[in-house]
Amino acid sequence: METAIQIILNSIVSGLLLSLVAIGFTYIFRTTRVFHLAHGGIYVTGAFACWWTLTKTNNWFIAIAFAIAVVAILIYLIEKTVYLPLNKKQSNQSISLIASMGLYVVIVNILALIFGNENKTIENSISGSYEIGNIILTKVQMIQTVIGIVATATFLIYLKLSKSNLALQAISDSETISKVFGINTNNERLKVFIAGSILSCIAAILKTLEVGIDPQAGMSITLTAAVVAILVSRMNVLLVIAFSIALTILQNSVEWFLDAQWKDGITFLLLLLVILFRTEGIISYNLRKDRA
Amino acid sequence: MNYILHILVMLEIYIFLALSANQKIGLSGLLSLAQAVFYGVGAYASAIVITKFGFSYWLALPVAISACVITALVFSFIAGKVRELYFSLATLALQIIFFSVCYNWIPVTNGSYGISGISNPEIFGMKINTPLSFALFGGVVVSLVIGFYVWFLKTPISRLIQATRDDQIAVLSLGKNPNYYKRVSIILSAIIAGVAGSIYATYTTYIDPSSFTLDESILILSIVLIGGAGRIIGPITGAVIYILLPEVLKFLQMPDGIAANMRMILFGLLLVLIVRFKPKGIFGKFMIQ
Repeated sequence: METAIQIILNSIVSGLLLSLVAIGFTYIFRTTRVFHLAHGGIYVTGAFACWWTLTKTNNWFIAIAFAIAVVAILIYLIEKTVYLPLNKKQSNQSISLIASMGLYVVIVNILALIFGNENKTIENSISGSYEIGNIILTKVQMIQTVIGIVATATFLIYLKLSKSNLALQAISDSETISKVFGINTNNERLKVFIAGSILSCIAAILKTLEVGIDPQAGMSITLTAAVVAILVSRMNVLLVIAFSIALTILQNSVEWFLDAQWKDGITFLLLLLVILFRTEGIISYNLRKDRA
Repeated sequence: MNYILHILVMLEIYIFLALSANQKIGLSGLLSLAQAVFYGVGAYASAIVITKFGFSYWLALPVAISACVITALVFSFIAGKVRELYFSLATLALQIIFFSVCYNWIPVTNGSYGISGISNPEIFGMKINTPLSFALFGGVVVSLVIGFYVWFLKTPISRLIQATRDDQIAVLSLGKNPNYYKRVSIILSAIIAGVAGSIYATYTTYIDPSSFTLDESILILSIVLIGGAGRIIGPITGAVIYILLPEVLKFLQMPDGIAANMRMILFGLLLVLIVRFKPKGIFGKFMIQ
């Protein structure tokens, strides 16, 4: 029983971090229709920027601010030079997927060239844990949980205050009609790319606290976030969080009862089944016939 | 000299893989992210029957091809159910499942330790076990495949495969079944990649799951898209660029450690530039819209 509680507790924390990446991926995918695999590149760029600044300044505030600035500039350049021009040419999703794969390869190899392929850990990282019976919660997990919740809440408040949520839903339904109704679609695209990248950057920094970072670390979490995006199939932050935690519980259970290497296999088997038999995602609702 | 011959053998293997991917992408318009699965199935099937059952290469080859055809049937079922991005995602899922199985099905694949001691092929009593003999053997087989494609691209079935790529409804209106032509194309692609896998396994005499990852599938796809899909010359050009790029970097006196990353940076950049400015690739005929 205690093992089950520990697995669930760990899964909630890891699931929250996954949900930060998945929220960004889902909003970007649903709004821009870009299957943004380069999100994995953005993730590791944020982590490396933070790690590098910490080694130079030993100041967390400067490190986090610098990492966020770096990912924001990087995604701005990517959107302006690659994704937006492809969107103007009305390229289909396969084209943007290929471009995204190319960008991912470039980013990861540049980082490997600069920092090397080995895992980088943050020195003087926070240690210690709290124990309730046999259940353990580390201080790093506490920090991950609190900052994860704050970041998600900030994103939700931003959506509410900026009224972007409605604009994003409109662009998701039809970009052309959104333009007719005066929505600056290019601006909204850029905002969702930057917001999604910042969430991913925060997740990467929190994960680096726990296990460190290497240039290849972004692909696995991005692919899992992509699975969440396909399963949820809607722009709903709370649903993305719920699915991220559920998927992490499944993965951790597989890791516990079978083997760590099976968890990706099981995750993607689930994706395959959903794509084949429920392409509209697990959570779907009946649209009126004239909207279906 | 042996180094140049090794480069030549790897070039032949990548030409094989690029031609097989071109069959799916260029002729059928199916953007698969799992070409390394067929490569891996061919390699593992050959390695397993050679090392565990003592088969010769020439007996192992039909087994590898049969395994690839069975795998191709799974892919063609998917191609019949979903299209475009969702087909790509389904193949991505299959790629990761395949890697998981190779890594974890230890009694059969030996997991991360891989399979070693794969014997070399023999032809008329002569063992093919030197880089020169492998380069010649690979050259002959690649020539046969290129010759096959020169003939195949003029056949009615090839035109119907390309018609399925361009307009499924038009194919239906001719009373033909588009899924049948997709199936033929995927099976053909699988057989060629499977043969490449079996040659790779017997050339290196050792295989492990790290040769058949998603990265490898992305690489094969990039080779085709950079060279250009739909023609024979496109995939060959892509493979030549990929294999010779590190040699050019070495010529520029770049250290090996930097050259490996620089190769991938240049290749990724080339892929982005091709998609952005020349979507048909260098010599391509077909463009994914």
